[in-house]
Amino acid sequence: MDTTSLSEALPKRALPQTVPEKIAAAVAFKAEGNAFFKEGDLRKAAKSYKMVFLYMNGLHGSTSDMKGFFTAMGADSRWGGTDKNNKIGDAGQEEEVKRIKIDANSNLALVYCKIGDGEKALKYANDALRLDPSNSKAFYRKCLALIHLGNYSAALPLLEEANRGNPSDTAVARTLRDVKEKMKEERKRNKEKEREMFGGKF
Amino acid sequence: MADDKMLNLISQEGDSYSVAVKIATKSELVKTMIDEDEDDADEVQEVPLPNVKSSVLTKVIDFLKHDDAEAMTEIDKPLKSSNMSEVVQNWYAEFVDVDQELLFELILAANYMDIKSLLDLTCATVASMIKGKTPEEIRKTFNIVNDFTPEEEAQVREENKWCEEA
Repeated sequence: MDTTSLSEALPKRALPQTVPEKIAAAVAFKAEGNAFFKEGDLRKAAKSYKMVFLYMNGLHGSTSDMKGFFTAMGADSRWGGTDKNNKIGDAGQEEEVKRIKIDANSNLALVYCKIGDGEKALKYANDALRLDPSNSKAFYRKCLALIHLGNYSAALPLLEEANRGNPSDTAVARTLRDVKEKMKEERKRNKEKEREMFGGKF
Repeated sequence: MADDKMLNLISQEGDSYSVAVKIATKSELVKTMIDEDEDDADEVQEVPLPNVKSSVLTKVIDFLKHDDAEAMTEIDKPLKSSNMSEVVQNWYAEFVDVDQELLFELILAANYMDIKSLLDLTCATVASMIKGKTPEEIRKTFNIVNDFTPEEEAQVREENKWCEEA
């Protein structure tokens, strides 16, 4: 028997349908991501965290970017059946969906910092901050991403801001010291380079 | 990555569609899912899309395949015509010649799967249904109940006078 007919014989499995089922699936993927992260399997962790978006994106509630469109087209009253499965029921659910998306983005930022991909880390930190501008974890991870990209001058004011906001956060304070140190070294190196280049001439 | 590599897109109902990676990744959402896969390149990946129904996903895949063969022309804004066949190639004009419910579901799917060209096409189609119509005609097209009081309506008309003069 060839493999195609075998897989066709398997019963198809419907994906989660209702919003609560989708939330449960997303929470499970987030937990799976956390487990892979603890084991140090960063690629698998990233993949699990990204699965969250397949379930949580495209749901619409009162803060969704498609809300205005739905209202304008009178979707609620007119085609009650359309996309009912993706409609967020209440404010509590809305908050839950948002929280899960923030966590997935923020955790992806950390994963990519550890992998050493500053660009992706920055993208996911920014996505988390767009959903929750006051999220201090995501804010700090954005700083780490900028450091990975070697963009100390962009990281410095953000770290100073984080440090002012919460002076007792030792990780922030330590990173701030490191960045200042690195910028000092960089200036020193640049001066030496200049001396080497122009030293003989002036 | 090899050009002929395939992946499976799974709809809400659990139907599986085999699509070339090169074509499926025109969806930014799908694209972010597969970039961790450089190492286990032999495995056929499955991407579940629980927020799209089979009836809509098959249309989306048709669009992506055609866009790969004959790329959709950029849509000029503002729309130059309310006739979509004067805005994009025939195939695309026919593609969006569907009932309103499916059209709106395509907009939602394009937004969810993050496919810019499909979102452009479907939103332009809604715009083409509005272009050149009076408020009454627009209400009729989309089945919108006029919930303005006469005073409110007069005020809106006054505020938007500049619009009609143009």
